[in-house]
Amino acid sequence: MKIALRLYATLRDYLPEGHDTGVTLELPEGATIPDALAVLGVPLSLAHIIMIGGRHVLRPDVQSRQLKDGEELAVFPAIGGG
Amino acid sequence: MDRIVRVNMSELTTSVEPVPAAWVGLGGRALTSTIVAAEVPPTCHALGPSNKLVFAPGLLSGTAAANSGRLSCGAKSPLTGGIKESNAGGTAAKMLAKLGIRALIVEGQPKEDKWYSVHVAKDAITIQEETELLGKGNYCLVNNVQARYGKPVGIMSVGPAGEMKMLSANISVADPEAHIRSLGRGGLGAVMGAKKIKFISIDDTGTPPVMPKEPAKFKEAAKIFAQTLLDHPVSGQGLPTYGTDVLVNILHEAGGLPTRNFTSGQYVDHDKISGETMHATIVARGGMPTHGCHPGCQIQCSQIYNDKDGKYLTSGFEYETIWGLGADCCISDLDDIAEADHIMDDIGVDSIETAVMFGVAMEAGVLPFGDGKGVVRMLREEIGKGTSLGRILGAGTANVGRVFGVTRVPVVKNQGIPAYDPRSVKGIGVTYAMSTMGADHTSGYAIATNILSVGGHVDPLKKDGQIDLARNLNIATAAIDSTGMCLFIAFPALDIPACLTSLIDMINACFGINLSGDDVTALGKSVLKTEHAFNIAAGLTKEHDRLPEFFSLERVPPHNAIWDFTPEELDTYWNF
Repeated sequence: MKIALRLYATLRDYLPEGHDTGVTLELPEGATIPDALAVLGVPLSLAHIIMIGGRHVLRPDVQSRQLKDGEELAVFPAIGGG
Repeated sequence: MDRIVRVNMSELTTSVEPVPAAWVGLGGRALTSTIVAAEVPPTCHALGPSNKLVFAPGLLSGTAAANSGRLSCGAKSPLTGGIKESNAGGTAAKMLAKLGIRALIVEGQPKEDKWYSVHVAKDAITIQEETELLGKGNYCLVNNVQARYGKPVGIMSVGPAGEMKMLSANISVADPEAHIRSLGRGGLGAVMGAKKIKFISIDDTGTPPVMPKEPAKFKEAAKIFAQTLLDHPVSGQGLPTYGTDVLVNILHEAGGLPTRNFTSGQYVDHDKISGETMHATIVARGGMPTHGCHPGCQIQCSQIYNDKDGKYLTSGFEYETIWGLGADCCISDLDDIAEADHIMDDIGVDSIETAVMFGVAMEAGVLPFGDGKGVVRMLREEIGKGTSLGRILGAGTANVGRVFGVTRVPVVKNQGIPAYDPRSVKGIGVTYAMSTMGADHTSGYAIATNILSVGGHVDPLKKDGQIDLARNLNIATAAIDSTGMCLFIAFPALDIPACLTSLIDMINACFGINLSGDDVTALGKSVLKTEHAFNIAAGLTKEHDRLPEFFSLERVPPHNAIWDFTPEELDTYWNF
């Protein structure tokens, strides 16, 4: 299955050359959020805010939430402003 | 010796008095709101002689405490018709605190059609007629006044918008680099203009630093407090690196980035105006990605943004400004937005009110969506020069909506709604509706918990828990706004217990008192109740604690979210 992974702020340092904002990943069925992040070597500890389709995935669900084909995963470090 | 300074513009006299017993122990917003509530008739005309303009440093301003240099300014707002407190960085708070001035109260109104400046120094407070700088912008004014005195005096000033008493006019405060910080919201620049004061300068020469009553205790607490700011990833890393504009992308992802005058929650060109893009642009042009808005700022979320030729263009280039002209007005060129930001600082208009207003003006067809050059021209040629159109645009979002017959007008109590769609981020919607300030994200920043996972998480799309969240944040913020602390200390304070305890320890050591956490909460509640009572007496009833109707009629993509709080639910906010 294919998912879109978008990284923000300091996490963009983990993107491969030629990709400014995110990548499309080919993952096996049943892959989880940590599986997706592992492809780019993003430490899970830095993934402070995770959204799928614009909805937050909370910390207790991060390990178990299985990705589905076509989903969009957005990952942020701790950020703030206002 | 702590004192209260009064500047009477009717008589053109100044006076100094001891701090009355009822005001001892108050600072910042607690003091400005207490004074306004005590001395300003709630039904007075905000631009008439009965209104008072009150400046107050925070409780910890002038001490060695990190991030304690915020200046509060209060009055009855000509924009909302209610009480107003707006705060900013700059050098003025520290200087006033060093001079022992807990509050500077400007009252009355000159009888003659003349303009004045006020100079505050250790031995004298004087009023002088001002002619040379009339009509001048704030950047020019700051340079001229500091050249006059031959030193970096503190300055609070109004630009042409304040002179013309526009409802979007702000008060500028000089920062350590002689750039501009803003007492932005609520039209306080119009109140200063109505007092016919072009600027107030402050010279703290000959004054010692503010010394805590218990120096050793203070030093220990200050060290712990500063460490918590460094340790938290938001105040220690995120804000210094990207500034507040880092929020563009996450609000876009969450579907809460108001776009094209609040008709969508996502902006196709979000990355062009994002904090990541701004950071890269600043670095490439030799600007400064980190910069403090006041002496002693440790978070350093400000920046110096240069133009394509590497020359200074603007600083304090904030998310709400960039969102407003960017997503809400669909201007994707960050340089156009930066130029507009510079002009808004220079002519002295609130960049949130003005950006939200342009979104409504674009919907009305005054200019097309996306017309960055048009915005720059209108700021400079219409608003800055006070043409008939400029006077209308400078009167703020609500008035522009009325003049042009627009129904999608994002305001509460006539003040423009900032940067976060209340339908898809419901906690901030409660703050917008209920804040004593009119729509003001800073008065109870539910984004922290709805979007940023700071202080836990409350689902932004559900109603559950939002009223309690907004109430608690508004109470805590009213207390923080009274300390002189930058509101961004709330990020570590929500997650690291030692941040709040060391803050209270600093206050106790500074004044030789023994406040508890409950006392601080009680202070926040007391401030809100004082402000609420003023608003009710001014005619702002619970029917004004509501969002505009269109939020309940129009669903906003991508979540198709709607504003669905009932009036009865909202009114429970005041159950404390």
